[in-house]
Amino acid sequence: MLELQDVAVTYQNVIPALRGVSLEIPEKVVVALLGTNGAGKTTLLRAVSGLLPLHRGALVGGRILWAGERIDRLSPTRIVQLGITQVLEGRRIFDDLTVDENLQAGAITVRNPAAIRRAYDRVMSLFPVLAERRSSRAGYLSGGEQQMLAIGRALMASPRLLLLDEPSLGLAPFMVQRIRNIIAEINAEGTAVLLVEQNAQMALSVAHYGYVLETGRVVLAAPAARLLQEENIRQFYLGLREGERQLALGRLRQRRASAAERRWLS
Amino acid sequence: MAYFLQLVFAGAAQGCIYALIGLGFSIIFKASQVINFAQGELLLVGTYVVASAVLNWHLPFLLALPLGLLVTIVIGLLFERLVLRRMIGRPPFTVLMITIGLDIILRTLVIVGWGSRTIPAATPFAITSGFNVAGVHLGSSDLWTLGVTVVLCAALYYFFRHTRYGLAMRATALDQEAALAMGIDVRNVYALAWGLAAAITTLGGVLLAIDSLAIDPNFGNAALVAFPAIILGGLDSVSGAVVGGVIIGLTSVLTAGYESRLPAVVGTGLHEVTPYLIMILILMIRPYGLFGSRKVERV
Repeated sequence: MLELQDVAVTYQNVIPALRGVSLEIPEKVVVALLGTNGAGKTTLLRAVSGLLPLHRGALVGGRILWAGERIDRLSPTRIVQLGITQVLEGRRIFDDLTVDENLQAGAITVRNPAAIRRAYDRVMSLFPVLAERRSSRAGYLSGGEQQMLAIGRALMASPRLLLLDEPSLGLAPFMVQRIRNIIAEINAEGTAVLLVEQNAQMALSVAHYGYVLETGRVVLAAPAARLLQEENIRQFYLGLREGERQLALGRLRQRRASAAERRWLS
Repeated sequence: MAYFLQLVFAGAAQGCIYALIGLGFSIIFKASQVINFAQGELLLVGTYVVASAVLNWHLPFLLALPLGLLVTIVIGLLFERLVLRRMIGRPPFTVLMITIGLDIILRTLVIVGWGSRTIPAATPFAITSGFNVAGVHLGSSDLWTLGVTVVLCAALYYFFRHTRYGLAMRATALDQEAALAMGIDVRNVYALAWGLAAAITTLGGVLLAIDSLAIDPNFGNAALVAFPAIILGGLDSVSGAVVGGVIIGLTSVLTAGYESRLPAVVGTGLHEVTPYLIMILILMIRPYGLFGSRKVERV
């Protein structure tokens, strides 16, 4: 459904962030995107959602296809209308607006009132806690509730692909677990998810497939279950001592994904 | 007592004009974090167009006014489209300097087009029209100023609270990237802000011109007087601009009315200083203005 072909991105014409990334997200699947800070995960999401120009970044190579059509020149508005919505890192809710107004803002591209009402009811059944606080200021919600609102706001556009940037950031372990279950639930209703996470354990537990990005390249791509077994991943993301983490990171960075791994669908 | 009420009435009317001009500043600032220093010159062009339409082309005032609004809206939109749109994501300071450039260009165009002489302002009323209530003279132009401001504020309130575009503007003001990610077309929001601000400011200028009877190329400096109003109201607050405007109007008119009774040392120019004194006083207690948000950066 979404296909990145050899995508390269630079910021301010000089700083490379992605150096030829190919990746595929089929319909109704959760794909996890792992990697250290600065690996290019957020850049990849921006490239898809059209937010690169705001950060003075540009696609300098490759192309991005959505249902077979190129979308890498389109405006963020158009991309949302086509069915891709991004939840930014750090929640970024409109904190002076009420919960309801935040959700309305999420549906701004939707013209059909019936569709808005359907999306609204879906969000309210997914997040009962938001229903209780509909008219309170969003800035007064707890961190976990704000993350739910951010996801709910994105769902108001009824996307077919949801881009999630670090939804577990700064949340307590039980809340991370809830967010994980919510992602699974959203996916069960037919929405594909591209999940960027530092918390590899959580991400791989909900994802069907995973990619590992290092310094702008895909170094590993495999079904999530296999990634969980992969020794380097285990050593780097799931703890162990600092020296071993560094060694594992070095080995990860040296790896280039094989052609078979990059094109797992075909 | 009648004298005091008379001053309050005049002060409120004057405050409404500051409020309208201030609304222009704060709508643009809220949408794009830019202080538009060309605001006064937009107002200048607008009032000159209205005056010319009435005095030279003999249009009725009610046709001349929309014409003046249209001209400034078009200038605002063109400026946004041709210049500011390329500046999205650049530091606010750059954009601020560009608005100063626009200010100079517009003022020069007015001098080239109309000359630097003082010309009479367009007015739909005779100076003395109005009526008396309990010894207070309620002038037509002041009554209209008050009425127009109240109606406009109500309309703006409805617009910001209950329409899609109003919501889009508020969301963009809070977090531009998040608004973009929701599919809000931020370029349209900027265009809307500039069009709206240009129209409201021009309206304020035309009402001010009716009051002062004549205009010259320095008429745009009126925007500078509205400046303490928006600073004390809170730069990024639309309701703050209105409240700030009325406070400044009342202060300046009341001081002007009573300063002759003060000791001679104080002099007769006190009313030009008091708005700024009030501004400084309020900023000492609330550095971000009466209704401003704390996050606003100091300029």
